[in-house]
Amino acid sequence: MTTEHTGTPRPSDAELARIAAELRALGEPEFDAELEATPVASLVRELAVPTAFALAFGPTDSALPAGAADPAGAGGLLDVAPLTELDRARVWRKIVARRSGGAAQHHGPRAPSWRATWVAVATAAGLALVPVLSTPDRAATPAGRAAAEALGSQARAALEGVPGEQDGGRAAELAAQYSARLSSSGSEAPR
Amino acid sequence: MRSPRNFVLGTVMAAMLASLGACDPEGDRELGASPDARISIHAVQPGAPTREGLAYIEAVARVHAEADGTTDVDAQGAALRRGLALPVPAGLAEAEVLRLELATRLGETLASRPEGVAVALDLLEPMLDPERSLPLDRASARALVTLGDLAVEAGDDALAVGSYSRAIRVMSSLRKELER
Repeated sequence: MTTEHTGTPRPSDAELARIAAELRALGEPEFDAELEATPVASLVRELAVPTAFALAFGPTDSALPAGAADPAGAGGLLDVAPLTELDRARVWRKIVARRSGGAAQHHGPRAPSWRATWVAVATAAGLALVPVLSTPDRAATPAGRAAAEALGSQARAALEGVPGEQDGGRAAELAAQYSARLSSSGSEAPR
Repeated sequence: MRSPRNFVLGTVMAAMLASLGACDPEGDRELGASPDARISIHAVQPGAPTREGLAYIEAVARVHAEADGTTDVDAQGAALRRGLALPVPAGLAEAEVLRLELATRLGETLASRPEGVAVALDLLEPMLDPERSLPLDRASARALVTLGDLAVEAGDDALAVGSYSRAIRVMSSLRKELER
């Protein structure tokens, strides 16, 4: 739909208003608040939101039925003052900023990165859970511990009865035996 | 709008991964762990003596003497670690017994502090794995008893009972060998 003022087409304002209406349909309260203060606001109210757009992103309070014009807005359209250069600059700046952000959030190149982030987080969480859930429960039960300690007492008592040295005594004993073997072998003299 | 969907997707993936972990066959085996009392023993067959072999044995004896000479647990541990790091001469069968003694003593030293029990277990468990053959020697029995003690400290009943059982079997074989 195009908008005309006193019979003269104003394509730039219409384009601005169309985009503003799209943004309004997306629900941009900050933008709407600022937009209300601009002459474009009346154009926004006048414009209808395309049906496809409304279906894709859902209607908002400001989204009008497809093909329908806001009677009040249409009525007030003729009272709209022409956009100043400053108005255009402000609206375009906001529109471009919001549009690029909104597009990226919904369809833009950032979408895959968000998805990748979620997948990465989920994978990390899953991997973190694996060792936790697969770690054997090694907590001792009273009966198991008692049985182990009883068997340990028997094993230690049996070890006491096994002849032989240990640690330094064992190493010294082995060294003496080894040295004797080395001497008797005659092939190499001990140092 | 897609974020919640991706969140659900992520949650599902996390749940699937967690389920995979929970269904890990090895994990299941350990969850229902029963004592592993398998033991494989081999007789120590001394090879031809060499000067390098004698030097190694004497170096190990010095390490033990150094550890005996201090009451500082850290110094004892450091000395015993140096002993374990000594390069073993090729063909020195006695080294297996000496290294078991060093590791057992180091394990006992580490376990004198509560935080050292896990480290001691990490040291001794691989050396005494049921899949590995152990020398028919008192050192094997002692090492297994120490492993059992560490397992009791760590609350691992299955490992404790398995280790004590294996130690008793080593001692039984050793007694039969001595009675021949």
